[in-house]
Amino acid sequence: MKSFDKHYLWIMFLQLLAVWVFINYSLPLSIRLDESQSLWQTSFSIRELLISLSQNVHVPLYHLLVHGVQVVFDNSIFISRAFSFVFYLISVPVFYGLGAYIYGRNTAFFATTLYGISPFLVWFSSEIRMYTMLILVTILVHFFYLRLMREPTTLTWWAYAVCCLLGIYTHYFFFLVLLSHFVFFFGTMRKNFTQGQLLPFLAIVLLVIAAFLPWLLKVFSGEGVEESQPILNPPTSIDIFNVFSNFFFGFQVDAINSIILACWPILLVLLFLGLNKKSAPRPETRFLWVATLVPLLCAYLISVLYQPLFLSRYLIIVLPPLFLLIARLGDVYAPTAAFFYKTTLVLCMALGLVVQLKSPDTPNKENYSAASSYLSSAVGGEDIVVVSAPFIVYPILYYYTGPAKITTLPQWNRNTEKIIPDFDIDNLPNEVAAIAGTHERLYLVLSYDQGYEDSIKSYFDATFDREESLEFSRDVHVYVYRLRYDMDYTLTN
Amino acid sequence: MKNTSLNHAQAFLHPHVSKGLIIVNGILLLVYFIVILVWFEISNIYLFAILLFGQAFYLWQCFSHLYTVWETNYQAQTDASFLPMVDVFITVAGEPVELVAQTVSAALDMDYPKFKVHILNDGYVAGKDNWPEINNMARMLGANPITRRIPGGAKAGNINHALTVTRSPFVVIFDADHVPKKDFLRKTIGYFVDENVGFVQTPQYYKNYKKNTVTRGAWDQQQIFFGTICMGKNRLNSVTMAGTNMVIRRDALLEVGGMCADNIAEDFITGMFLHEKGWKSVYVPEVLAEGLAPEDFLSYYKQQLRWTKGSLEVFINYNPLFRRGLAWSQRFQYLASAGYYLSGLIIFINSLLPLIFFYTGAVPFKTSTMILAIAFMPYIILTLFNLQTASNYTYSFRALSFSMSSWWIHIVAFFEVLRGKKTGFAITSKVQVEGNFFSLVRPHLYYIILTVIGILYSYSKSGITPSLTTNATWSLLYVTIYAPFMYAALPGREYFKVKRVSFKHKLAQILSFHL
Repeated sequence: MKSFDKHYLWIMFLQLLAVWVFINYSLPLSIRLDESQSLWQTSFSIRELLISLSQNVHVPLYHLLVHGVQVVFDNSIFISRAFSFVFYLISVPVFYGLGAYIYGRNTAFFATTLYGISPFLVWFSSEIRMYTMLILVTILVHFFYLRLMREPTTLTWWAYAVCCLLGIYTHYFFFLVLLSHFVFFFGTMRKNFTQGQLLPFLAIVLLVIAAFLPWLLKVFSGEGVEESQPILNPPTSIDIFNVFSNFFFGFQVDAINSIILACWPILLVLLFLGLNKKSAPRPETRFLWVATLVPLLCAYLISVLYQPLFLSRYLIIVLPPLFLLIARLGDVYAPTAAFFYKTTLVLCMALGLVVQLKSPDTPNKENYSAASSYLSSAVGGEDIVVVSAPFIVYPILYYYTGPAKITTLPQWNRNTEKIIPDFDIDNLPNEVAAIAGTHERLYLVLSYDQGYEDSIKSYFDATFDREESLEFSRDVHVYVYRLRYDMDYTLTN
Repeated sequence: MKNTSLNHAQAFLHPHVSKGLIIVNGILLLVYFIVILVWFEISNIYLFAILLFGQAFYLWQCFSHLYTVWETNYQAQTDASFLPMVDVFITVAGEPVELVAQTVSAALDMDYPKFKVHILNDGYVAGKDNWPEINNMARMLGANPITRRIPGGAKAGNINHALTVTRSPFVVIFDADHVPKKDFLRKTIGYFVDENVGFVQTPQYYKNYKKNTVTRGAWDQQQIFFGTICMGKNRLNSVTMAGTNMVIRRDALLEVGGMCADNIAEDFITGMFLHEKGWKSVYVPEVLAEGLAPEDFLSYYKQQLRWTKGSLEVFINYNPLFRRGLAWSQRFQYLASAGYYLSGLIIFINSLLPLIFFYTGAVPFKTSTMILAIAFMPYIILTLFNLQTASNYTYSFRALSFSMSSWWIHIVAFFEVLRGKKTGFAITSKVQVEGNFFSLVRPHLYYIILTVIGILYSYSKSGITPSLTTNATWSLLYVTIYAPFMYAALPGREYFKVKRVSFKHKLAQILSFHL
C-alpha cells in the first residue's frame, strides 16, 4: 500500500487559499473588457455564438460550456467566474501529479507552491475566459505525452488524443503546445521513442487536423473576421521580459515592474549556480525546455512577421513547463543555495501576489463597475455618454442603467458592424458635432488608448468646458463636459 | 549518456559536442557583439571602449573555444606491436619519499617489455635533505637514480641532464606524484609508429580531487582543459605539452635543444618548438596516470601564478603569431591557450563597471530597453549548455568561480612579467599546508566592501532606479562568483584547532607568570 503523501495537505491548503482569494478579492472586482465580451457572446444562441466566435479570435469550446452553465444556472458574473475557477482548482493537484511523475514529490511540491501563489495564475483563475481551462488541458496533455514516452499503453494514447481534441477547441495557442510535442517527438525519436510509436502519433496528428478542419472551414467561409479587439503592437524587448515578470510577480505598476526587469542579471547568477549537477539533463527536462521555448519563440515570430499576439495570457501554456524547470533548478543547487533560492523566490512571488491583490493601482484592475455606477446616477436624459475606445462599450453597458444614450468615438454599432471604424482626426469635429447635438452634458469615458485618446481629449478640452475629471482605476477615466448653457440644469436634472 | 554510468575519472573524456549548437552559439555570439557595437547610444566613450575591448576579447575566447571543440573524436594511427625501448623519467625535487616510492613502484610495474625507470633526483641541487633517501629507495625498488650536481634550468634542466646519460629512443616523463597505470606504455608508445609523431600527451588527473574545496576547484578547472579542449587540439595537431604523463621522441626533443630551460612554462614552450619543427602531437584521452592537486590555497595560488607568468612570457618572448614553422591553426591554438591568462584583466575591468556607476553615475551606453538582455541571455545560456555538454556535465560553478576569480593572480603575473621579474620554478606542494590564506583574496574582499558602500551611496543620491538595480545585480553576480574562491582561502578546522591550543598555551603562560 502506498503511503499517504503529506503534500496533498499542502495542495488542499493552496486550494483553500485560492477559494479565499476568489471570494474576497476576485469576485468583488469589476468586470473587465475581455470578460464583458465573453458574457456578451455567451448570451447569444448557440448558432449565433458559433458565428460570432468564428469571426472572432477564439475557438468555441469554452464559450459553449459557459453558455451551457448560464442556461442551467444564470448569466451572473459569479457563476461564470466560478466556472473558470473550478478548472483552476482542479489544475492544482493535476499539476502536482505532473511534477511528481517527472521529478518526484519534493520537486513537485515546490513547483506546485509556485503554481499556487503565482499572482499571474491567481489573476486568471477567475477570469471569464478560457485560460484556466487551457492550462488544465495543457498540463494533462503534457502528462499523457510523457507517459507515452515512458510507458505507452492504448489507454494513454486515447487519453492523449482526447486532450489534444479538447485543447485545440480551447485556444488557438494550444497548437503551439502540440507543435512542441511534434518537435520533441521527431527531434528525439531515436532516443526517447520507439518506431512503433510513430504510427499512432501520426494518426493523432491526422485526427487533430481532421477534427479542426470543420472549424477552419467555418472561419474561412464566414463573412470575414471581426475587428473589435484592442490593437496590439509588435512585441518589444520589454514585452518579452514582461511575460516572465507577469508569470512570477503578476501585474505590477510600471515603477515596480521596471525595477523587476532591471534585475535581469540575477538570471545569470541562477544559471551559473546551476552548473553543479554532474549529470546530463533527463529527457523529461529536455522536453520541458522544448515545451517552454517553442511556444515562446513561435508566438514572438508570428507577432513580428504576421500579427502581434505576444500576450502573457495567451502564453499561459508555457507556465507549467516553466515552473517545473524553475523547481528543478532548486534540485540542482547545493543545499544552502537551494534553500536560499527557494525561500527568496516564494517570498518574492507571495509579495507580488499581495501587492497585486491589495493595490488599487494594479494595472489590470479595470474598474468599469464604478465608472458605470457613477454614469448611471449622474447622467440625465438630455445628456450623452461617449465611450472611447469603442469596445469599452461592452463592460460599460454591462453595468450601465442610466437614462442617457451611449455612443462611441469613433462611432460604431457593435450589433451591426463587425469592424470598428478607423479614427479620423480630420473628421473628429464633425463626429463630435453630430454626437453633441442638443445634449446638455457629455460624459466622455476614456480607456484602452488605441493611439488617439489624447487627440480626443485635447479636442474636447479645447472645444467644451470641462466640469469634472474622474479616475476610477488606472486606465478608466471619465470627463464631464458642459455642451450648452441655455437649459436650467437643476430643473432638468 | 549520463556520466554517472562512467568511472568518474573518465567522464570528462566523453564529451557530447553538437556542431549545430556550436554554429548557433557562434551566431548568437556575433549578434550579441554587433548589438553592443551598434545598437546603443554611447554614454561614456572611455567606458564604452573598455567594455568593447572586453567583449572583443570574449568574442575571441569563445570563437577559439568553439573552433577547438568543433570535432573531438580524432583518432591518430597506432600500432600495438610497436614496442621500442623506453626510458621512464620521474622528476623529483624534495617530495616525500613515500610519495615518490608509490610512483616508482607503479612505474616499475608497468606492462611493457623493454623499459628502464630513472629517478631524476634534483633534491641535491635544490638543497633538499631527503635526496639520499630518495636514491636509496630508488635502488632498493630497482630504479636508477640520476642526481645531477650542477644546478640550472629547474625541472627542464633536470630532464635535459638525464637525456645526456640515457639512450632509449623514447622518453616518458612523470612528476613525482603522478602514479602511472599498468597500461600506460602499451597505450601510448604505439602512436610513435608514425615517424612524425614527436610527443604523446595524456590527461593530468588529480586523484585527491575530493579532499577539499581547493582540490575540487583545481580539478574542476582541469577537466574542461584535459577533456574536450585537448581532444580538440588533437585534431588540430596542437596538443599542449603538460610536462607530465607524456612520452617524447628523443630525436625530436634533441632537435629542439631539449626541454626549454629559459621559461617556467618549459613544457608549453617545448611543445610549441616541436610543432614548429614539424613534429606531430597526439593526445590520448584516457586517464593513464593519477596525480595530486594542490591541497591548500597557497599552493594553488602559487601554481596558478607560475602558469600565468609562464604563459604571459610566451606572448612576449615567443609570441606564437610570429613563429615560423607553425601552421595557422597551431598559432591560433597556442595563442588561445596563452591568451586565457589575460582573461583576468578583462574580468577585473568588467567588474569595475558597476562600481564606476555607483560612485560616478557613468555608464558605457544609454539603454532604456531590455535589448541588451535579449541579446545576451540566449548567447550565454547556449554557451553554458555547450560547455556542459562538451565537458560531459563535469564543468561546475566551482570551476567557473576559480577561473573567473583568478583575475588578481593574472594581474599580479601580468605586471611581474611587464617588469621582467623572474620567478624560479617551484614544485607545487604535495601535502596540505595549514594556514590562513585569506590575505590572498583581499582584493575580492575590497571589491565586496566597495560594492556595498557604492550601492548605499548611489541609493542615497537617487533612490532605487532601474540603473542602480541592474548594476547592483551585476555586482551580485561577481560577488557570487568570488564566494567559493574566497571560501577556499579560509583556513581549515585544523588551523583553528592549532590556533586555539596555541592561544590557550600563551594564556596559561601569562597567567602563571602573573600568579
